[in-house]
Amino acid sequence: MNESEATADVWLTQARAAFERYSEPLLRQVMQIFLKPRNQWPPEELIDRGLSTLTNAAIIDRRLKELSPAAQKIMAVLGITGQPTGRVGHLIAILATLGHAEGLTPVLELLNSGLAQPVFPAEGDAPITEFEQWLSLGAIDRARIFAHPAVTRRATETELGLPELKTRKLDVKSRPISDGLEWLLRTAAVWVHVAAAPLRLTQYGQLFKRDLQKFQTDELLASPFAEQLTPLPDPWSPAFELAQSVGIVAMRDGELRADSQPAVWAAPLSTALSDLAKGLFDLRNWDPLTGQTSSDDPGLFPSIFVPILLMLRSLPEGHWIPADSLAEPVYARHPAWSSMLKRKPEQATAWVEKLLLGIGFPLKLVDAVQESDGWFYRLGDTGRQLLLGEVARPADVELMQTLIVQPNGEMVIFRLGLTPEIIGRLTRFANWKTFGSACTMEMNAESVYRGLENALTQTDIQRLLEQHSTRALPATVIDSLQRWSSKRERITLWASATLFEFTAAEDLDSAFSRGLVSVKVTDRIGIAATGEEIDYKHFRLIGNRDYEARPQKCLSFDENGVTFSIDTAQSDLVLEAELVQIAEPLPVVPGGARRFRLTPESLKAGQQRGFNISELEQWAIDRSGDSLSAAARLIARGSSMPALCAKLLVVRFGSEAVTDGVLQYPPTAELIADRLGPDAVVIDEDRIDALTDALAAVGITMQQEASPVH
Amino acid sequence: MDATFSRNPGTRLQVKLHRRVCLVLTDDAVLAEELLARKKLAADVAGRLTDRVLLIRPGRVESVLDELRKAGHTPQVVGRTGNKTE
Repeated sequence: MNESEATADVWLTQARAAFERYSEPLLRQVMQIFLKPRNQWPPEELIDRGLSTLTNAAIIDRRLKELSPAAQKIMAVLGITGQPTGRVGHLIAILATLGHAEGLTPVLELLNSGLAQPVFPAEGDAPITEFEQWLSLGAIDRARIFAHPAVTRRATETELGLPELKTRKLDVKSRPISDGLEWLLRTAAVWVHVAAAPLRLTQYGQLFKRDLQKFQTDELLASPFAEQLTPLPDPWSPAFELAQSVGIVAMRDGELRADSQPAVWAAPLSTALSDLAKGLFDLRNWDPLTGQTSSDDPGLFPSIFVPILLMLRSLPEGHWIPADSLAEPVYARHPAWSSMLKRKPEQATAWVEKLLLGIGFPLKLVDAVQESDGWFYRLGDTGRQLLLGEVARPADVELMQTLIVQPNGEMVIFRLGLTPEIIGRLTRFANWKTFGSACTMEMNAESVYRGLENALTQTDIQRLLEQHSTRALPATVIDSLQRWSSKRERITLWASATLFEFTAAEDLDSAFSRGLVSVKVTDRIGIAATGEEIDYKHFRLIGNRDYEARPQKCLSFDENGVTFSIDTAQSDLVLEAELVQIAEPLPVVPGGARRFRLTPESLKAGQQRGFNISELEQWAIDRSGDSLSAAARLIARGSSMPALCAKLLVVRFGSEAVTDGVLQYPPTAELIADRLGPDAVVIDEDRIDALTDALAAVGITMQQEASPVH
Repeated sequence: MDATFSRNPGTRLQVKLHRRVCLVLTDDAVLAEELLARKKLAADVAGRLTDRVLLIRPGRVESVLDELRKAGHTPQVVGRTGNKTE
């Protein structure tokens, strides 16, 4: 499948998704007009037949002829501009400029005919029963329809009914020529902005205030064009929108991020300009006279821009047209433009002039020539390619040596040799400083680091500079590149790695040799090979832990309070790090659990690494569910009190009650050193006679235990 | 487990999977020590798997990255959301 077939396939998929959202009565109603079926087919078959008919040229031609002129013109506009989708509000306004004030009727006719379908938002899957209901839900301004390119292409020959234009045949000897790079460079500057800090957008795709201010005060994006035929208000704004439309920056994970390899940087200049120009068909937040607009509605720009392009497309060969001749018919018929310009028709001419000189000319969408009575326009290379299907002229032979690298890392870049690819590659690792006939860039550690993060290597950067530099690279620049790159090699941060924990070092070695593990982390743990799904046929999973989940109880202490076993299924990597700090591994019994021991040495080392006694106490509770054992506490804490060694005599009374009495009765109590248990006490050897006497006084006879025979 | 069995090519290896782990791998142990000497960075380190592998606390990737950059390092970042290739 080639690229255009793949794209067509995308639209068939979208058409299917749209048909599937129709309620059955609506689907049958649409297919009755589109397919004219003779049988009562089930809905699935109706959809399949409908989709195959979308690419059937003969039937499509018949269906297009059955449409009203206004509906035909909508298809023609989509076909000529190469846009498979269009906002309903804009299409109605464009139709008005072509002399049709039927409003929504032609759009509904297209939907009912099956030649166009609604663009449904990703969320929601409730079936629609009528198109008016869908339009009222989506608001006409925001609602979009799409038509398969195979359908709109068949409508491009439709007579548009453009007004008679006041053109002039000119014999142009000289005129300004655009190199086509201005907007490419400015979108590259947007890439640098976004690469530095991804942006969040409002619900309607607008910048938040702080980001907006950053762009508004960006001197580079506000700087004049190299060939400035007219100044533009807020030139950063169209650059920002065009960068989004060509995918230089794109929404990912809820943020606008810089794409590391946008297609537009790999395309020839003519294709890149055509892609940028297509972005103008959906420009929302900028006006050629007033600049950036912060309104949440989609604006009028495309609904004025498209009729102007259609008029330029209709010019006879050799004819040129002034801005007022383009502006007048649109101003007169557009439903909202005159009120936007506060009923000042001269503003309409200024609007068109700004658009064509500030946007159209730099993109080669139009050619411009200044006569004694003002500027005149016709379609330029990009315009003819886009609207007339002309094949782009092959690029001139590339001038390879186009930059000078200064010893301080600054670069002077001559535009003559620039291509989208060189712009893209330079943008990845250097910052644009000025735009002009010669541009300047600057390399620093941060920008080079950015390049390395965006799939370039130090060799790539050096080779690119050497290839395009007019002089040898300064030694200081080569040194800096090497230093910045090698510094990067010293630390690798794995942001979200998948780790394999094996039960034995040999298993890790085996997985490593099979290419299943890319990096060995410890003797048993390795990082899974990146960029590939895990092939489970190589593994038998004994556990699956999400590192971000809460730690689990995963170890049980033995009776002795210092040795313990690990429950491998519940353990996590943090435990591994903890064990390294405070415990010693015990030999693994084949088939048995991993076992560890707390020792005075291991706990002392742990304390030196910052694992203090209170953390140890908490660790025991978190990991085993029990308090730290007395034994573990003993070896962790020790005691400041000395242990005393003394020779004492044990006296047993044979009864707890007698012992209690002896310890309470003052003449005996004062002789006792300590109680050992329920019926035993200890006394100093030299007090035994006194105790014997005191006990005798209360009728207790002291008996000597027989000495052991040695 | 029988190590001989596990080393036999083609046999299934017993393994435990740890997903979404954030790690810092340094070139040498001294560099790891150097990083841990930075208080702010050390606070984000859950532990050391080896003398040159630091385990980062969940959700602290950006903070660690910022801190590394502040310290003048230019770490190679692998698998960060939004990066296609590294």
